[in-house]
Amino acid sequence: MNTTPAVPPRDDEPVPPGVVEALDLTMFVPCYNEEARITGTLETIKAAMAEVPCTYEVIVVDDGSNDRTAAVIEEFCRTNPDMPVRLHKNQRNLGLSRSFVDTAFRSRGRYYRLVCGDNVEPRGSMVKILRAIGSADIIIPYYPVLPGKSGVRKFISRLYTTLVDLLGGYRINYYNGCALYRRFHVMRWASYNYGFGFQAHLITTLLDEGATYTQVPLEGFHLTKDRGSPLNLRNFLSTGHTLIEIFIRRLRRTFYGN
Amino acid sequence: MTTPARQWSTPDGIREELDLTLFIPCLNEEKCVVPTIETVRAAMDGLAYSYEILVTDDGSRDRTANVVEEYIQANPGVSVRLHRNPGNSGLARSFVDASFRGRGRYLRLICGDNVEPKESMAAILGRLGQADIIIPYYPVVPGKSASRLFISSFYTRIVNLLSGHRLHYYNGHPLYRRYDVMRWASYNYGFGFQADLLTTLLDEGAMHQELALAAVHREKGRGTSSVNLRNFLSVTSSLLEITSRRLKRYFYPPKPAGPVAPPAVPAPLPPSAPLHIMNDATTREPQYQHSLELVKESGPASLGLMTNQAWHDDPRHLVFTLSRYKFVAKMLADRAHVLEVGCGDAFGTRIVAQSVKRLTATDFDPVFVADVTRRMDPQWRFECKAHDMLSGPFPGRYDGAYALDVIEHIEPKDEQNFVSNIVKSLTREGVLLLGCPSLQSQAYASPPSKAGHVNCKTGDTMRTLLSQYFHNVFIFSMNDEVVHTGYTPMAHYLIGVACTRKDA
Repeated sequence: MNTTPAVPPRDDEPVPPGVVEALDLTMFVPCYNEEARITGTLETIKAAMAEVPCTYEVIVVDDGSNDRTAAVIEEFCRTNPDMPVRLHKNQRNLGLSRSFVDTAFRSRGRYYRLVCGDNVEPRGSMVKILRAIGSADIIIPYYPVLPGKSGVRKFISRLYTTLVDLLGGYRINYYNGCALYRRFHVMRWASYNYGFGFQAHLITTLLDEGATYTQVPLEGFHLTKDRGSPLNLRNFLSTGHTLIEIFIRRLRRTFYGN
Repeated sequence: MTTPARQWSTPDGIREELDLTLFIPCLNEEKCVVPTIETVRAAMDGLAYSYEILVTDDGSRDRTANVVEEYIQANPGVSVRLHRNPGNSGLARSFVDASFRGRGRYLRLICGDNVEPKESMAAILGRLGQADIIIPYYPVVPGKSASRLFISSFYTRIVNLLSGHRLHYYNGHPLYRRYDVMRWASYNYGFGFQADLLTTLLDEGAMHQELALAAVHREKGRGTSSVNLRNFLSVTSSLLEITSRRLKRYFYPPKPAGPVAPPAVPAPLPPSAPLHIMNDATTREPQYQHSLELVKESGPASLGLMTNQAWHDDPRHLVFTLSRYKFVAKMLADRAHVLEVGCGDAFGTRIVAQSVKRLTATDFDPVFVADVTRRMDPQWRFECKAHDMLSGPFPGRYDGAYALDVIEHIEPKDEQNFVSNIVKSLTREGVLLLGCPSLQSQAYASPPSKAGHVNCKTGDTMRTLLSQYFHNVFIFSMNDEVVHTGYTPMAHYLIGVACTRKDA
């Protein structure tokens, strides 16, 4: 495998000596009981990467599944020795945001992206995001049309985006898509403390830090399985916490500069 | 790298090429920065670590950066790098930035105003590798005003209260694993960032050691500005964050890792270098040849986390500890199933296991349980489980139980709960042994050994406590490794032996 990054580093932000960057891209694939879908996800990634000229690695994290997810991934690695896939098993369920940051420290790509383990994202969307690699520090996807999403869910989603925009002072179309980040940025700025809201927290922090971004419109995809409602007390508290944090940063920016 | 091998490896995404990164932040330190570098070098001279010095000029308006550049040019053999922040970024942020720029396995901040003497520096850095965090504190601070002392101690208490941890001081400059700073530090906090980082790491189960140092006398009054609105807001934000983590831990405790697999038979440790040399050796007297054979077969035994430290800091203390275990072994000989509470690294537990039919050891700290399990010798196997006796009785019925050096760490308000939970697991004829340093001995104890001792007993209070649960209580005294029945106020250590439950 070619280990020279195809994407040139930006001059104004050299890689810190303490960080290893040996590849262009790390794909982080979190799984929780995805034995039926994880092979499909990895096949989609393989097909997408055939269209994008960059070196990459896939790190699949089994977040404490009680089904055969890990065995299925190990089987996939055996039958696809040409694809750089590694499996990490969490000792117990650690949740998405924490695994997201942990994996940034374990991987070696210059860029970093989360791909959900339940194979919801079509190859075309993946390719569209990855083609924008290197054009900005953050490539943020959004979905102008969302077929099959109920009116209530659309309203809550819209309300959340508006709130984050309002409190953070930015204007981003969607905070909960799977953006493409500089891996170093995730290591440096992501906080593990936030559940559902960690992406909004990370994106607004990076924007505070002067990161560049582009937004890429994608076709909305239809969720083929019910992921369970995100509306529960824990998510409410966690999101409230994120919003307060974003607002505190805004106030700090206003009163004390950056 | 001379760092002792640790149980976990470097994550793939970061580079660790040296033992230690020393980070020196400077704001207008043209006079002090070079002496600081010289002090660091003098401290490092006595230590065999590879290291680098990172100086960050945090927006100085004087010649700090030039002075450092001149020093680098004049001393090409010394690994010093200079980074200039474009403006003033503040300490917390520069510290985290430096963790990403450094390449050491460990990281420590050294103030650029050369206040810390070489000896203190060497004392902290000399402990590198003994724990994930080495935390200094200052039992006596001469020259600090009463109001400053009050604020400082108030702050420590608040952080301890909110976080549920118990440290002496949050604002010293600990020695960290560099990865821990990269992974867990938040740049968001000014003055309170150390408390936030330390409590986060302790939440994550990091091992730590506290180290008492002679206080540093600051010659200039730089601390005067620490009480202002911005710091107040920043500290409040840190405290809220610490509280919210505590609440999260309380209401959403981490899910258990599923059924616990029985401890695996450990693979024999790879022979270390000197043993390679001995591979073909034969001893001059044939009766000692077996000692070589044994090491070749099963590798050398390793000390536990605590015994390793005792053997390092105060070798004879190991004898005292082991003799307590031998006393327990004699008292509980031939018991069917014995419970140890607060086993720590359980190094002495094998001595009791040798005399009883079955033994189960527990400790409330999973770090120690993992260490015990890792070192478990198949020939001397006993069960070891994580359990906090304050949370309830440990399952099972035991005809003997003992807790050495535990009760003195239990708050007096919790001691009834602690003892009664042990007693609930005892059979009718069960025997309980409690051992702890005597209250009178504390006048002679060093600050590190006194740390955490909140409930040392006298002969009388030990008897009173045990008499609430047992008809028969026997108090023994100990001085060093000798057990006797002498006058308890002159004993260094006390062991209470109790039997015949009152409730049975």
